Amino acid sequence: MEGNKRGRLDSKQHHDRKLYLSKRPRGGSPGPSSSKRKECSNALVLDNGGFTIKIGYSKDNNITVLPNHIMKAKSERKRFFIADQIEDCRDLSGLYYLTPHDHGYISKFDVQKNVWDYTFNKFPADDMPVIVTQPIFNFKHIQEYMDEIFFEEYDVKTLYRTNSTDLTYYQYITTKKGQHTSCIIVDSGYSFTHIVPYVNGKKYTNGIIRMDIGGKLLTNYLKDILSYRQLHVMEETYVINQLKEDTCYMALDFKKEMQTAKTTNDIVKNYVLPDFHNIRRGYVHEGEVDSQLAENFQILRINNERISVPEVLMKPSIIPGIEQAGLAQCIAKSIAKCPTKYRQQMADNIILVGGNTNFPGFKERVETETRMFLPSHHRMTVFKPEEPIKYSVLGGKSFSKDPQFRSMCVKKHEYEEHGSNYTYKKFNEFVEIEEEPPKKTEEAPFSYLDHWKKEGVDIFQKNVMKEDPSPDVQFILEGDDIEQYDGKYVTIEFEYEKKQPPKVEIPPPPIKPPDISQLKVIKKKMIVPNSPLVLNSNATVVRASDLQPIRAPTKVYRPVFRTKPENQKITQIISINGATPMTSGPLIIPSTSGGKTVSLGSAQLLNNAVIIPQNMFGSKNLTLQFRPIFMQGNNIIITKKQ
Amino acid sequence: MNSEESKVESRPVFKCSSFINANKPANKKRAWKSLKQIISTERSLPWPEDHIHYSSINAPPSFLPAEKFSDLSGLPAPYTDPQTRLRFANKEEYSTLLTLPMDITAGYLALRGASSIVG
Repeated sequence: MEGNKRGRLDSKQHHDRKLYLSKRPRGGSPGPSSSKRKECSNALVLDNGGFTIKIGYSKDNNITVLPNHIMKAKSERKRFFIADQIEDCRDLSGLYYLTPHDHGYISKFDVQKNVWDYTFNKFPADDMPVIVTQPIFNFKHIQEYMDEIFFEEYDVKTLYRTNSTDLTYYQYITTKKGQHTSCIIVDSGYSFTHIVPYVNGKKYTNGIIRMDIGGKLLTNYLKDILSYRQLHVMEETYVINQLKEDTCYMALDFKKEMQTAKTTNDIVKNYVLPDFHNIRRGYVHEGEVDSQLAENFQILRINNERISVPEVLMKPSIIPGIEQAGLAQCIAKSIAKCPTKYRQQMADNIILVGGNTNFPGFKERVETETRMFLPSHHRMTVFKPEEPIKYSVLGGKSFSKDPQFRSMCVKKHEYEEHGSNYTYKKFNEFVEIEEEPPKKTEEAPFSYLDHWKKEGVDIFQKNVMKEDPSPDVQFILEGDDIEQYDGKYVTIEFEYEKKQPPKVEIPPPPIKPPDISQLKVIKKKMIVPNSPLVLNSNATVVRASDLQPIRAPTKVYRPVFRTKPENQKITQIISINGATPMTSGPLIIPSTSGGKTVSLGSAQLLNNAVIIPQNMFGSKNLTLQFRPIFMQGNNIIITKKQ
Repeated sequence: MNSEESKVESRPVFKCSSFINANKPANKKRAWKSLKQIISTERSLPWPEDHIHYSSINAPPSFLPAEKFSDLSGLPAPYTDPQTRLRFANKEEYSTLLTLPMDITAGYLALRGASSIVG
């Protein structure tokens, strides 16, 4: 009795309290009254990888790895081998794979369905919640089909679809570090390698990087070079994959190892290929190869291939046609994309998961090479779990015991009610952290010229103009405001009011102009004559945000800016981003960056619109200064430089 | 008790509990979209300027020059044969390289992706 009671009490606390309780050993023996709770807390975790399915129940400790393929062998032509049925097959030479995944994304659902059918027969989900993984930025189309299959065909009651890196992250923070640790997860799998930064407990989408290099590419590359150098093995994906796993390793110093590979060395290994009669799996033959062995079996002599194949991860340019940066560079790049204050912590928490990390020496190599790309003041630690392939399933298991887990799932009746858009929204919550504004003055390299300019030292005997630091003020003028016209210019008058009156009121000093950022325009007047007027001095400054781009700035189109009242005519462009276009001929916009004048292309001037070249649009704060003709009685948006 | 009540509430009254969707065919045959199609449809959608999706998380190109390896042995290759454009590491390799017929050299070049005349 007492045991049961305590068991129940535990379950209640388990729901109320935070994470660490979920890992506490349960008091009391599971009696009949606690059976309901037991059922609830069990969940099926399915990590649906491109090469293998990793599956396990949250209750027990086993994680099963099944091949995610349908295979056809040459010896038994009529039979299909689904997942681990391949163990029944005796002759594995020339094994043909039917893969549901294409570049890591499920594209052949008919194949995938068969494999899943087989898997769920072995591991029935019953009424438990199912956690299933998908690649990062999985396409909506694929997600919809996954929903359909799980809810409608497998009749799953509760589903949680997530990225495997999320589960990895969860496992890491619960077992190793505290909550909200920022870290970076390198998931190097069969189809690709993802580098995913987690900032403050959430995925930071801006920093995610995908390298199109995975175990499949490495195996194919090994197949290629072996076929040309020694033996035709293009058909033997299965065998070569085993060869790769058995012999390849990540060199710590690639150049040095390559030099040793030139001469006689320890790197050379003789790999005995399986013939599927006497040898079922290939193995590394230590020592000299005698003539008897050479006669009876096929032997591959693996030399520099052992290191040059995993090296592709670090230098993808080894394979022609791939122009991506290496893994270490990508890690550093990804860290650099994240907000500054989290970077140190991220460098301190680099997690390696996925099949490729099983290469011996992988962790050490990533450590040394990433170190080179990171700032020297960053402390750096790389963590590789004992079983990097199964780590995400472990994470899924512990996540299913999280008190928050229930609320994050989608139930079947919810899916039926709201459809797949609902699930899509629920499972794809990417939260981005706001980047703090970059500090300009402190990080800029010190220059005496700038320093003197600031001080007012007149080294060139010129009057150095001090830049006006006051920001632009934007306001809208309406036709009724127009009252006065002095013959030549449009005059704009406005009054200021304190935006947030400070507690202690200090009247502004009489000589200095008021701080405009603190002020709000409350009254505005504009004087425009009844007849059209050419504004020939005090040209109006209009910011890019005030103009409406009528086409989305894509590669194909160039952005067009149109004045808001369509009858406001632009006669002449005075400047774009502070640079003056040439007056004669087409409107060439020069860029004055770096002291050189470079033509950035020509802007086209229409009646009431300016077409800006694409490359000018790169910067967001485009300032366009032009001379307009004002028409009568319209709302005009003007930004006036104060 | 509580959870059951909320379930009942969330179910609209007009829905019959014994309703079975007649539109759902038992064995439907579907043509799945290939990955290329999926990517191209995704690209053509009108995304906001700074939206992040599949194509925008590609790894950046490397700043380091590609290293050169011998086509025959895979060792670092400082030399290139001007006739066949094959790379080789030492003189022994060069002597074997001279004996190779045209189709084999072409195959080596194709393996390296350097078979085009332009490149």
